[in-house]
Amino acid sequence: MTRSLALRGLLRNQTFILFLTLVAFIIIVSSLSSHFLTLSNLLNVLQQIAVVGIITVGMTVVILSGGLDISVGTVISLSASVTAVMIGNGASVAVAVIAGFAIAVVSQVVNGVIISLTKCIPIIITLGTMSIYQGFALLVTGGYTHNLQGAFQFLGRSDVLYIPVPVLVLVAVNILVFLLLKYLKFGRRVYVLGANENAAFVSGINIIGNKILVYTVHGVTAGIAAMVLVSRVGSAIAVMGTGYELRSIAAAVIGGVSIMGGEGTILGAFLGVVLLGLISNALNILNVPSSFQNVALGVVIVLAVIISTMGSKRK
Amino acid sequence: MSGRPRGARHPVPQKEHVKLLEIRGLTKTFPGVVALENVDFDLSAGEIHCLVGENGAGKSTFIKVLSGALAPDRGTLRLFDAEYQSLTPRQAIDLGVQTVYQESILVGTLTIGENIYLGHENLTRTGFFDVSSTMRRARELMVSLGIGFNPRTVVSELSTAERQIVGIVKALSKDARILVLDEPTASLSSSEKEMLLGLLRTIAAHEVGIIYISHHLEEVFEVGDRITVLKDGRRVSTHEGKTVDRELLIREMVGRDASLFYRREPAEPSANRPKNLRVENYTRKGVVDGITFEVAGGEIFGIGGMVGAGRTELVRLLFGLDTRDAGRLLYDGRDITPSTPLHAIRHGLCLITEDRQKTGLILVRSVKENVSIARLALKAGPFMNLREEDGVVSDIVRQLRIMTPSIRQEVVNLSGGNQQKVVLAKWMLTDADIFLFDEPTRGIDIGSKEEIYRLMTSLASQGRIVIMVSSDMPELTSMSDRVGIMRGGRMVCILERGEISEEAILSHSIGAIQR
Repeated sequence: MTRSLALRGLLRNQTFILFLTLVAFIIIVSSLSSHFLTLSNLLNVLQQIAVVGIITVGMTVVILSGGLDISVGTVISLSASVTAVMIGNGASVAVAVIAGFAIAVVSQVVNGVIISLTKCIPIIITLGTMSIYQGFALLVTGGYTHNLQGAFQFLGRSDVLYIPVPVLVLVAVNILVFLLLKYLKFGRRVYVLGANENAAFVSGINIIGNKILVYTVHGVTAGIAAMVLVSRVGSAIAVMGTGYELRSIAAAVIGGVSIMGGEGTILGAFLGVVLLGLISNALNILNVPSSFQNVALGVVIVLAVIISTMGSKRK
Repeated sequence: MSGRPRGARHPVPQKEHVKLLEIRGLTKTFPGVVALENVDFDLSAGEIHCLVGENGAGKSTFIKVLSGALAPDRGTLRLFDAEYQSLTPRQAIDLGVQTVYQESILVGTLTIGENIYLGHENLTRTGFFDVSSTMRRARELMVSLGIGFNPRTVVSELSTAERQIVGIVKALSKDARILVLDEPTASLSSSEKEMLLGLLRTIAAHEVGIIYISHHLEEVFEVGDRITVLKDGRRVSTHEGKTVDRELLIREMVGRDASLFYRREPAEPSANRPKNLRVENYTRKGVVDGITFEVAGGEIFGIGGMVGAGRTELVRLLFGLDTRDAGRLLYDGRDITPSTPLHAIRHGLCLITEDRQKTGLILVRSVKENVSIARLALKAGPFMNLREEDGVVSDIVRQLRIMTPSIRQEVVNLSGGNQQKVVLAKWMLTDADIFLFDEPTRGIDIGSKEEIYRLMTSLASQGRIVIMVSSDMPELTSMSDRVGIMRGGRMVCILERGEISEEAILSHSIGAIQR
């Protein structure tokens, strides 16, 4: 009786389902190709998912708090462009990186302030700011590609102890935010806000302040991701971040983060990122055309949403 | 009112009227509550049959069964010579049972005519919406009822009363043979009420049967051909509207065997000097009007009144949840008027809200998180002490005997009573001095009820302030030291200990007795 209950609990646990899926997926693909399950390929996958993985951490915090952000792709573009343009114009790397990073944080704080003060729907507000930040990115770059000319390679192109730095950053950001959600009062409030804002308010929680804080955290992770991205690519264009918003939302949802807010974990979202990365890597190795890869990605997202809705306690 | 001879009202049916509805032995239970028990009811064409009773007497459940929203456990409904065990909403409408609720459901951006025929539009031969015939039919229908509205007026321009009337016309447009009205006059002025009651008589004269539900006995006496009293889900009696004795009716609406109820142990006077709470001139325009009263430490102050009298709004204001237009809150002479809940919590207030699922609990999160949330709001610094938290939460869970397999269990999986105890635990950990309870035992089982009463009593005996809004008569009479009665946003009187009775509370609540 208790055992069957525990089993049912596990099957309801989306992180666990995801873990099983990952294992099954790895077994199947590695039986199809000997290139898949090798240390160098797996490190390669981790490096490929580093940027989206870092963004997903912030996005997860936002979604957990009952928010959403579709402007993050253009925030990445703007932030990376600012850094690249400054380096191209002879600014020191440190100043350029701090400026680019700060732009990302400020952009998200703006999102947070508007969303928390106006109580408007986050998806619509960030649809608007998305366009604003895209416009700024185009203004900053003038529409050209800006090369770093070999400067600022550390964050994107170097290894520490044979491990690529982007992977280290990815792991560090995940651990840091995991700890933040677990041990800080702020972390508790993220969940509470997302699960029931009214009850949170009655219980003495400062809704506006905490929402702004949520988007600030998101801005910090987006800024880090932008710096890793620009360093790895070695140049910046005004649309380099396009698409990260959808992939990070998808990864979080696949990872069991409820799109309604209040439920989900950093670990789950991370597994979601890994699954997406492995799928696209496997399809590459198996020589599946990229148009089919889009179809596969879409199918996985739809399945994940169906599974998470079926398991939801809020039906 | 009413020095007027009863015979001057609309003509009492002379000829044999068709029986529209016969209900026999209607029973409906919810977990822990019998909402309706063996209720008989009938209605003839052209008759206005009023249904009266306290909050929670079963009126709403009755309407829901009749409109097909709920299936009864037992009993039969005989509608126009056919017998049914239960109805679906579709069936009810097709049979001509139309229900008009307090808040009429109209689309503000459409015209009166469009609203009336919304969902059964007149179409032209080519399948388009036929504006001219719609407007003509709407006008004809309204004229037949003595209403002179222009059907092309946009609904958002209408007053509440006018909307209410359009809602009724809309119901009638679907060939209603039985019209059910649930508190239609709750937000109307007296002249508007007159207009509405006049309309009802006209409708009844068209051989429609009307079931009229109201707290306002005045209206019931004015329009009712017959009056049925419900109490605790049972039909107490059915009277002829002309002959009924008003005092008798009120007695029938209340009156209950008090021995069934929790008896509060007499409070022992606290050793410390009690601190007083003074509520001064609390006002929010259109909702709560100049409320002033004082509660002594160690006292349970009940607030009674009908639904919509402004009671919930008052405690929300006291807690700083809504913005007030005027008012001060003084505790022990100190001004603690809160403007936000956080502010209120810091000053030792807490609010057990009426709707614990919406505003009391984070349903999908754990017992621990729910119990801890307000306590954490008071703590300085960004960190939580998880080990201390586990201890504190486990202690209070044990102390309040919250039945949960673990403090990590999501609150959504607990019973109503245990959920309410989680809310209480949350506030007890903030060391609150002033407890505002809004319907503290709504929807919870008898056992948990008793435990919550015992808790309230012990809070009071520790010298704390307890203010309790309740629609539950026995709860109000047996728990309160004093009861303030609210009506129309004002506190119309405060009953002292010796004066508290169900009759007194009810008659002040509905304004049957002028002081």
